[in-house]
Amino acid sequence: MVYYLEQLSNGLAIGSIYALIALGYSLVYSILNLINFAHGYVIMVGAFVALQLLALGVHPALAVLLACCSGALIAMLVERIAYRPVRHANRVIPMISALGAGLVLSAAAQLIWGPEVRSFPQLIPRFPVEIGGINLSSQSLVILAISVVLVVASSWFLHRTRFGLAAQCVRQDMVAAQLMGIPVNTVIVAIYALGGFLGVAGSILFAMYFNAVFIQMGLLATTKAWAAAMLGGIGSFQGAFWGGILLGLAETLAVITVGSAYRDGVSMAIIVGVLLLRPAGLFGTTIKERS
Amino acid sequence: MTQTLASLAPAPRLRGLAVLLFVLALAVLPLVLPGRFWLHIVSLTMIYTIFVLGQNIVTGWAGMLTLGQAAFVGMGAYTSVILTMQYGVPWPLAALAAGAVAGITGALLSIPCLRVKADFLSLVTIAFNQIFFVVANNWMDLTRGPMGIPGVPAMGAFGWQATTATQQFWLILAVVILLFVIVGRLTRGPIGRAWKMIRDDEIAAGTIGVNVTGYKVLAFGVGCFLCGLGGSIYGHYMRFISPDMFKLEESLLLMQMAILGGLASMPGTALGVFLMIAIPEALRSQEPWLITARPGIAGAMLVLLMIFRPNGLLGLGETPPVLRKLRAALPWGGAK
Repeated sequence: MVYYLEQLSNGLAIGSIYALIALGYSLVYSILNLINFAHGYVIMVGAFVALQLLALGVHPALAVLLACCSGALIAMLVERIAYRPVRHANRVIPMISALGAGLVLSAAAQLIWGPEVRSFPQLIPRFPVEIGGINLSSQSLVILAISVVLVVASSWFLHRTRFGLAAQCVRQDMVAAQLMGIPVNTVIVAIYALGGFLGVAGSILFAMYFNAVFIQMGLLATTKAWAAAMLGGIGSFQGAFWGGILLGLAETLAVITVGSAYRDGVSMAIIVGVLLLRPAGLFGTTIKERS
Repeated sequence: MTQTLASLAPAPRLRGLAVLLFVLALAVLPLVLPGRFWLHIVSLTMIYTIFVLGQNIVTGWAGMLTLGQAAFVGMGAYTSVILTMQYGVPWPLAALAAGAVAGITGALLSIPCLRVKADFLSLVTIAFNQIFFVVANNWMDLTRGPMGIPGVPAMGAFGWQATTATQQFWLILAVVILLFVIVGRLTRGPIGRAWKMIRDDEIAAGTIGVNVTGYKVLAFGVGCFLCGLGGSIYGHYMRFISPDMFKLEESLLLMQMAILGGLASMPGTALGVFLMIAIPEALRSQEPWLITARPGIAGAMLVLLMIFRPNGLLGLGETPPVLRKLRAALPWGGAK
């Protein structure tokens, strides 16, 4: 029992990381109905930027903050170059140009930092914390806390500010929002930037948790983040968060019962299961169809 | 006076002649090429053409983005290799079985996605490719895991085996020609027209009674069948298979080739493979960085293509008049 509770905290930590990454996908999908395949690559580059800054001796807090901002910046650039020109084209086209942009980022990262798996410095001290006879890892607790703070802050930003109101209008009807004088392009760029910022925060925590930074982590995170987003309901802010937490718990359960080799299978099973049984996800209402 | 778009196209006879000449030139290639290396590159290019044809049926003709075709290639390769090596099945049967296994798996996998929205197919295929890799790497009894399966028998049937490079080349060429003829007929026929209509306007297609989901599942099944069949040829040509050969990166490469060459275009399929397999492989020793930079270069080209020419270099669609005339002058150009 104690063992399961200890594992539970790991599941919560990794789940909250997936939630941070999933938010970037879900936000963009809720507004543009677009699977933003570049997101995974953007957050991978962000993790490498953090690694590079730390290697240069920048103060850890500053390095992480700068890396998150670089993620926002790259996301904005990708939006400007690869999405905006094709925003109104056939659905498949922005998806392909997103992937194209992502592959450019991936090749650039590989040329700069090489294809090897790098280890990531442990910025959060790792020691056991005993609460009521259960040994928890300090790292898991701090990761969970950071993620929850970021998610709550973004939720406040999107639901309680003027900008959030504008974003909701754009999400409901882009043309009408434009006619009402809402700067649609600015809102979309800001959503991309927010997604990039949260995503890089997630990928840095991911790198710390697994002590690894590698080129393929972006695509790996893509599958997981999408499983989380779909489980919670695509486009739903809360859904992405709870979906991430549930996915983390499900993965941890799979690892302790079946074995760690099949950790990555859980997200696949969840995606297919959700599509078969409840396409709108647990918290979503409907899937918008755009043709 | 009556110069229409169709009259800009070369006469069908001329076009057929050009294709015939191209095939003949390919067929005599083993006799004139200086060494095994060049023959290997052309053979490899032809095998990749089969994979990309499978990808193009799904992405080009039916308009669905799939990002996991390498998993179906791998599934075909493993099926065929295991059938021939452990159960002594003759290669042609094993190759058909490889295609069938990949095709049926693909069709079943696509049903839940396509019932909801084709976008999800791209996600599910990414995930499927990752799972395929994990399973192939860990199911030691069947696949020998990361060690791979060496000593795969050469292609052949009825006691004959294609052992020399030239024989393999001709066999692959024959299969590729056969597949191009079949796919050509398929895509120009009623099924192909249904696919194109669904791609261009799904709602309209449904309204006039086209079974949208059914045709989409069929497209994905046929695409995966081709990849599985190609995978069998790939495995028996390389004489060795391992999970590394069927990673997600490989799938992304296939997707790039199909789009770069031309969506819904058979010469475009060949062109995409030529640009992304033949050229980097031929320059591998002189310019090794090309292989690393290949996805990035192609990625940048994809972004530019999507903005300026969304259907690929030789794909159909809006064409500037200059390009249209240029294309009409090419043997395979003209109205579609």
